[in-house]
Amino acid sequence: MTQEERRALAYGLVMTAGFVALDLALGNAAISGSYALGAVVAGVVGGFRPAALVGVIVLVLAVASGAWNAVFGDSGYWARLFVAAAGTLLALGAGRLHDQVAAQLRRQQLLAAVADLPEPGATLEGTVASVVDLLVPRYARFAAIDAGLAGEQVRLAARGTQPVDPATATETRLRARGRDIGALTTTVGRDGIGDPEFLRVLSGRIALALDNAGLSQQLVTVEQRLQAILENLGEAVTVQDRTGRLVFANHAAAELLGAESVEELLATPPAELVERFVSVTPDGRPLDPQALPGRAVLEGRSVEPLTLRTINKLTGEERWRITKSTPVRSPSGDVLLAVNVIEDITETKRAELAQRLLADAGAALASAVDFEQTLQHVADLAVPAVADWCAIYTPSGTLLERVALADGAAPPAIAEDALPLLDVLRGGKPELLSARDWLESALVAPMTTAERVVGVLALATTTSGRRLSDADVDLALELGRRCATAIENARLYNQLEHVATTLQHSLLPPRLPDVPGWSFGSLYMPAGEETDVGGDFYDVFQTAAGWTAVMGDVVGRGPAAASLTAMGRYTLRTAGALVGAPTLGLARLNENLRERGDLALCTVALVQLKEGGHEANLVCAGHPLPLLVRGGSAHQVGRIGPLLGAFEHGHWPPAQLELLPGDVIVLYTDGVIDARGADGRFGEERLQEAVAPAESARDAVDRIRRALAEFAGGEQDDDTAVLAMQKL
Amino acid sequence: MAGGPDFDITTERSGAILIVIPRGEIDLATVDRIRAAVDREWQEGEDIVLDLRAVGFMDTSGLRYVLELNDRASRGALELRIVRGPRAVQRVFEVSGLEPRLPFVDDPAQRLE
Repeated sequence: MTQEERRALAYGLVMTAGFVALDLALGNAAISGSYALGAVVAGVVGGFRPAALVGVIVLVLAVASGAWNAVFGDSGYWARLFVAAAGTLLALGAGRLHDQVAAQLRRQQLLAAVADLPEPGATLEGTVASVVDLLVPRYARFAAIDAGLAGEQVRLAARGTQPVDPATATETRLRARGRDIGALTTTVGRDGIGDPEFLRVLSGRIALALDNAGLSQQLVTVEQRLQAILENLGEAVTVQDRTGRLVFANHAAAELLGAESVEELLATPPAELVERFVSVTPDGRPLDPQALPGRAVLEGRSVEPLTLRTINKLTGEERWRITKSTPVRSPSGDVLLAVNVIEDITETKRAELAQRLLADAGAALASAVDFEQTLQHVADLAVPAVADWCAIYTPSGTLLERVALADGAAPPAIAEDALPLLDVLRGGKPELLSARDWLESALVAPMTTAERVVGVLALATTTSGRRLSDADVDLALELGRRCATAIENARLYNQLEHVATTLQHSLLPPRLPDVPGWSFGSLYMPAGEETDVGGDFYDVFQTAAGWTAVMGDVVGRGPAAASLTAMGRYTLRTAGALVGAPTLGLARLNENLRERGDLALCTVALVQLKEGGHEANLVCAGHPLPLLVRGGSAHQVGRIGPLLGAFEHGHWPPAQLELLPGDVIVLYTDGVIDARGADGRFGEERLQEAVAPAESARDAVDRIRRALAEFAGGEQDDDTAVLAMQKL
Repeated sequence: MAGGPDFDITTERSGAILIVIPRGEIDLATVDRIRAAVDREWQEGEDIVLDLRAVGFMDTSGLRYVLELNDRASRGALELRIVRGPRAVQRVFEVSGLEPRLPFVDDPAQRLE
């Protein structure tokens, strides 16, 4: 018996007892007809069962009341007994009605309770357990829920006492959204839910609840996964609703967009976010907010990914980012959300800019002619790619001289005196300066070669708001190294040119001496660079036996050849001066060359002029034979001897040459006959032809020069030297 | 214009004889290529033949290399033969006074006494 029933029974019995007490006290037998009111109260309040119990007692008391009223058997007694019986019947009817209403109410409560399932966030298992808990023990003795199709079911939950005879249990299919998802098995309890109609409604509700629980669980899982994926994504992701407000952002987005946290980012209006940065496009134009991909997508425009260079106004930190935006549409095609993926491409972009700057600077420096002009070019490359201002300094005495300056479109006022230029020059270490009132940041880097600091490179940022970082220090150092190499090369080149010119001059006589009865003409054309010292030499000097003219050619070029050239010239000069015998000079030079042991070779043609006489002695050591120009024709004279440096011993027999006034003797090096032209090599024949009409030493040289220019034109591989002498 | 536009060098082997055949112009710019080829190919104890028949021009740096080869061969007691080149090439040997002193032959197969 339920509490409600016990209460109703108590009410009924108390009321009945009250009437009995009144009856006894007043002795009024008429009251006994009212005993049934107690049963009616019990029925109305507690239902059929208390009404029936009270009714039985009422009828017994009504019968018994005849005894104490002494009215047994009279007509009034029977009438009152009838009233009591009728009242009891009424009470039973009221009780049944009450029971039906209560049952209906409980079913409603059950349905309502099932409808509230699943609880938010509940799992499928949790929801199944909740359902059986609702049913047992209140509505059923036993309840079980199985999942899956009939025949392949898995019991998800059961509660209560399993019936011994399965036939007493009712199985109801659970269907949701047209799909059979399982079965509910119940055995009917006291407050039974055995009504098949109700069971069908109930199972429908349960099926829906379970389906939702499964679905919501699935959704929760998907959302959790998505969240986890987005959180862990290196790329920043934000989602904007139709008003442009951020409704989602991951940590990467918060960091990239300069927010303290995701929450702070979501709470910040979009316009304020944009305001936190100075944003420019890669070509340097300021950002048009209309061009932001998220905005374009929300406005239904299709848009390309946007690359931006942003500078955080607060920290001065520069970052490059690329934003792609994709719309999320409703089934009807309206844009609901914009999903922005913002990639941080700072490292890539910086590396790209640095590479380009270094490559451009390298190209400029490599093609350098005037290195100050080149350094200016480098400074121009650095602005605005790296900084707003760039200057390059090189030492000039004890001071630094600014040799290049690039200060962009709007020159900021840079206090150069405040930059640690001299410290960096002396220390060789870069210095990064933080913000001062006149600049955002500055960087002074040494320009170093392997050996020394040759200058200083200064960068500064002002109007852009950008702050130079350690990455810029590395770039500036590298740029400095390249500039330094160019500066050093230019310096070395100048030095080398000076040395080469000086050395070359020392190998040739400053001017040819005046030799009585003779006139001279000479030509010397070094091949290649000014820094390269040639191997040709000539000289005219006096010996005890008269004047001697020498033409020599050392095999090879450059400093090694130059030292041989000097040795050749001075050995011949000294030997000639001391002993007056040119062939002894040649032997001496041959020994000197052999002593070097590195196959140093030299060819020499030597003419010993007999003063006042009409003859000359010619000696050749592996050298092209001299030409004698006489009467409009030229032919070779002299005898071939071995070149110097090739063999230990040699013999250089002189050839005697009778001379007539007007005769011209021409000495030359193989650079003349080896001169390359369109038709091959200049050769001996062309030389003889060219020089044949010569009327003086000067004229012979000029004719050879002109013929060579006409034939060869361009630059030659070898030095060219000509020494002509005419007997007056 | 450094060196002839068309210069190349091939090497052949016939028994224990390395045959070096430069083609084109031998000057400061190309002589190192002959030197490199010989250094790469010349094996211990091999005699060597320098065939100059396909050489159109040679300057004193070529001459110097021939002398270098001659020195190396005589130091190693090996035989060097130089196959005579065209007139322009032989002229360089003549003028330098080296013609009588270098082991010239007319045919690569020709042995020296």
